[in-house]
Amino acid sequence: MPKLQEFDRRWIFLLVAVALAVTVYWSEDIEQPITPSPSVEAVYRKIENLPEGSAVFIATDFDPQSRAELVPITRAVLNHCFQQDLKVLGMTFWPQGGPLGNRLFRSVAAKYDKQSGEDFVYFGYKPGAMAQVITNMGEDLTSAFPQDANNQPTANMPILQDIENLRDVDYMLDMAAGETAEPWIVYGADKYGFPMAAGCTAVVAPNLYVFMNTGQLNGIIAGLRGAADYEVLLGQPARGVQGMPAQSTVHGIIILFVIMGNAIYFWRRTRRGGRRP
Amino acid sequence: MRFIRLTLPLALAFIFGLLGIAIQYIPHPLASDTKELLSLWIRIIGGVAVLLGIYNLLRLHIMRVAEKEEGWGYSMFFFLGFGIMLFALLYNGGQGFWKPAVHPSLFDGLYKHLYEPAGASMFALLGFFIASAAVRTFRARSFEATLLLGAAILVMLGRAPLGEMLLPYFPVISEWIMKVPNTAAKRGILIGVSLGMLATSLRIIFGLERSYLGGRA
Repeated sequence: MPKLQEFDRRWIFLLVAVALAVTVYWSEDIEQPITPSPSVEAVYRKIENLPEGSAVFIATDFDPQSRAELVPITRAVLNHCFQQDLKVLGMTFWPQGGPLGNRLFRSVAAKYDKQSGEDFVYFGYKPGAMAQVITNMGEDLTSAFPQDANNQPTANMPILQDIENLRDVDYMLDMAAGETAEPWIVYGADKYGFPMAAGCTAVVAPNLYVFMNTGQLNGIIAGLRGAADYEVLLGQPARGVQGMPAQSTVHGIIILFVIMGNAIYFWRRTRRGGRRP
Repeated sequence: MRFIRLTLPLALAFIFGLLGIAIQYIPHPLASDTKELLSLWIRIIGGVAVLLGIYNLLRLHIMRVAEKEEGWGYSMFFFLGFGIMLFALLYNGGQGFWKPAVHPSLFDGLYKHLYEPAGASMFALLGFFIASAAVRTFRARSFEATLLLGAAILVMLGRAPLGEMLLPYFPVISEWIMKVPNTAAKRGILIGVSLGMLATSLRIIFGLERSYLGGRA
């Protein structure tokens, strides 16, 4: 039997590609159980119980590389916020995330006939150290963002008449593809006293469970599965739910490969009398 | 020169380091105004740092092309992408860069139809490499490695509906692994990192840590 290290990995790539293509093609015919996790349900319940007109702040701290996971999460949360007639504010610390976030806010708002400057505002990207920018927003939002992402002056926006700074925010969600949730907790939520949750890529999630345990985050929507959970709770299956068959296939293949690789490893080890191959 | 290279930066770090801490504890409008002023300065410095980053990136790729280093052709693609995006940004829908950004514009189109799919595709390739690594390298060589491998499989099963179909308890087990053993390990790391950051900050403020001044300092 040849060494696994010498095995041409293009066969593996081909197998994954074929399995994925088949799954995606028939994904609408595949029914899979999706039970929302408690950490996603906590975010859903929080938004569901906010009184009409409450202010929700969403930071779209991601870029196109992580859009497959974070756009479905953000879209589901935005849908929920606009359905509940909440005021939504958004910004990003990721330069590549500005156009993506702006488009997302405008497209979801248009579905509910919400007006920029009245029902929502997307401030766009702000350079600088997170601690200082958050502190600036904590003092005065219009001074931190004299214009929104669409070059509209913020000073006279109706939405910002009652929401002057981060102290007026009722709930905050950081959609994080990197290490942005922690500064938001330390310099934002803890200091200005707003409850907070995080939407994040699956790879970032292990870092954030610490803050859920302490109560600094009331919930986490992690990865595409988190988006699917939220869509199920919302009763609006979309890209998250559609992506679950593909996720099951890839996870299944990787687990099979791990088992197969280890079986061969131990078989070779036994043949060599216990020595590592 | 010693004053400019060493004494002045050390003095600035000391003054603004202590000032940055002090204004957090002084409940006075002057402290609040200083806080806002400092945050504005830091944003300006952040903007200048972006320019410095662009300069460094350009310099790196110019050197690669000039010295015909291995893979210098990729640097040409960098210049092509950089040039096209810069042109689209400055062109600003025919209005010029001195006017407010126009939407939709050529820049928006390039971002949406070129940069976004390219970025998403690059990230999607990870799935293929993880599958390949699963066959070739994920081995239960020791007790710790076996534990890690077992936890990874349980979490993967819990995060996909496939696991729930096989056994309804997989999502519960997965959530427990994330909330208990994972949190315990992460908390230890986090406390260690935070103490390290605190110590480094104090060392910088008091001039004991000088690596940020460059080799000659």
